[in-house]
Amino acid sequence: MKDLAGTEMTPTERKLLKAFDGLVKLLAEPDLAPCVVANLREAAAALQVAILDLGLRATRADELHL
Amino acid sequence: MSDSPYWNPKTETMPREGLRRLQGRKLKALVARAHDRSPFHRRLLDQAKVKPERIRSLDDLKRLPFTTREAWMECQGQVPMFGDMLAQPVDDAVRYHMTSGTTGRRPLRVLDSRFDWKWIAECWCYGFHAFGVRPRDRVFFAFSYATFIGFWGAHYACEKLGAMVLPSGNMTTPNRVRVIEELGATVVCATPTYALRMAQEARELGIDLPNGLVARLIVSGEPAGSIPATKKMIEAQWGAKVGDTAGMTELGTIMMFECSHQPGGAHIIEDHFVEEVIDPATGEEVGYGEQGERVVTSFGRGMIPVIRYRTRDLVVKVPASRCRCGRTFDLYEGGILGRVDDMLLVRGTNVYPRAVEAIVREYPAVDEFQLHLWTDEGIRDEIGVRYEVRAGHEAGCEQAVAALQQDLVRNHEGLNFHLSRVPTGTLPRFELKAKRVKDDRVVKGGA
Repeated sequence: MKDLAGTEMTPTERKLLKAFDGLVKLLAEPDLAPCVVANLREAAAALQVAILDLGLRATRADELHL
Repeated sequence: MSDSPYWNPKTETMPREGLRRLQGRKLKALVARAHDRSPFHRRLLDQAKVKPERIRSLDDLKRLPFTTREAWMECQGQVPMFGDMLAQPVDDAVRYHMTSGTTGRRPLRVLDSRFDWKWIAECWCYGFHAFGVRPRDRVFFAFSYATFIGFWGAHYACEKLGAMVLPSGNMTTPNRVRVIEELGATVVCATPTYALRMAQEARELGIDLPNGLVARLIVSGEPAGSIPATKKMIEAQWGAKVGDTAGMTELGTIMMFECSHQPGGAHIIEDHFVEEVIDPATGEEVGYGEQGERVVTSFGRGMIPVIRYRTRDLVVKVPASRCRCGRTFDLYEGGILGRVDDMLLVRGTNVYPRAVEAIVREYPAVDEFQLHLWTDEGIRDEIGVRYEVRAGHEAGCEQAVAALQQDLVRNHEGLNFHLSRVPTGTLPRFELKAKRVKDDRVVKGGA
């Protein structure tokens, strides 16, 4: 898997993407308490910044309304 | 956390070819998203017959239409309150801000989401980290925390870095100076003008800033942060290093920062922005070393996509190799040099306020000053500098002022400058952007 600059992603970068995708999945769980939703969104927004920083993915998870 | 001198070592040291590929991929995603979600951008792109799927690399940037402040303002007039530029629902916003309105025009209203604020802080982190701010620092903000976006993002950046934030809100200047000393601030954030104002206050209060704990000042909001004479003056009065940054409300954050090598310019955060420099008259790109207008495209802000926005800022771009810090990000030599519309035309001579400041600040005897223009005998434009003399510089002041006048005349094609002394405390002081031009001419001659 390559990053936006065309370089092979490191294992850590792949883990970062996986962590973000995991948060997205968690946010889709039904009946999450408001405190959980709010903090998951905070975490997802922060991870999305790191993903943008490292140029791992250019598209956004707009459906999350981050 | 590693002790890297770079906040983001991967991109800050990325070879230019890789950086261009990265920018190209981000551009493609930005244009597709803007076309899909922002009616304003869809309209502009459709009018220019640009199909998002045909954007493939950074080379395609030039095919995109410019965005102007006028068009942005107009869309906010047509679709109150925030216009139809937004790419996300208003409900996604967590904060409202507006431009400072220093140009006298109607301010722009901006909204940011929770992601945007994290990204805004991130860009400031590039700058703070590069200038040597670390978790052990105590960072004082001489900032009023109101609707002007100013240092809001810097505040969050310091929290993200793990530094201790010392906010000052609506404190008076004497109180701010006392707090800086009492709480042991090691970094101070302010406009260049206000940094000088606080230094003056400290002297009056008997606080010895040069021998205090403040080691760094991070300035923003005015071109003066990169004027060598002004910077030297601030550094001498604080006994600290001054690092320049520049941003704008339209971006929400900074797009350039000065690193600890202080190369006489500021690095562009090129993994989050594409900065073009164009001839303001023709719109054609100019080369390295040539002065032009900066045009910015931002890959960060989600609520408000910014594509080829004409900033009216004057800059000179130079290659990254100009600095020895190892970053591959290009620089703006001398920071922001002024505004395209700042130029004053006085009897056929171009006068740039920044250039005048650069000369005036070479004279330590001058404390505060104001550029004054008026019409004499109903027909002739005149220009003068009103100045206050710094305490302790009375001796030799007359010679210094005579030399200053000669300097101003010599640098402005023989245009005569009238210098007039005013009592200390007469001229306005500024916390945010300084306004040192008073234009009382019957017909303004600005270009």
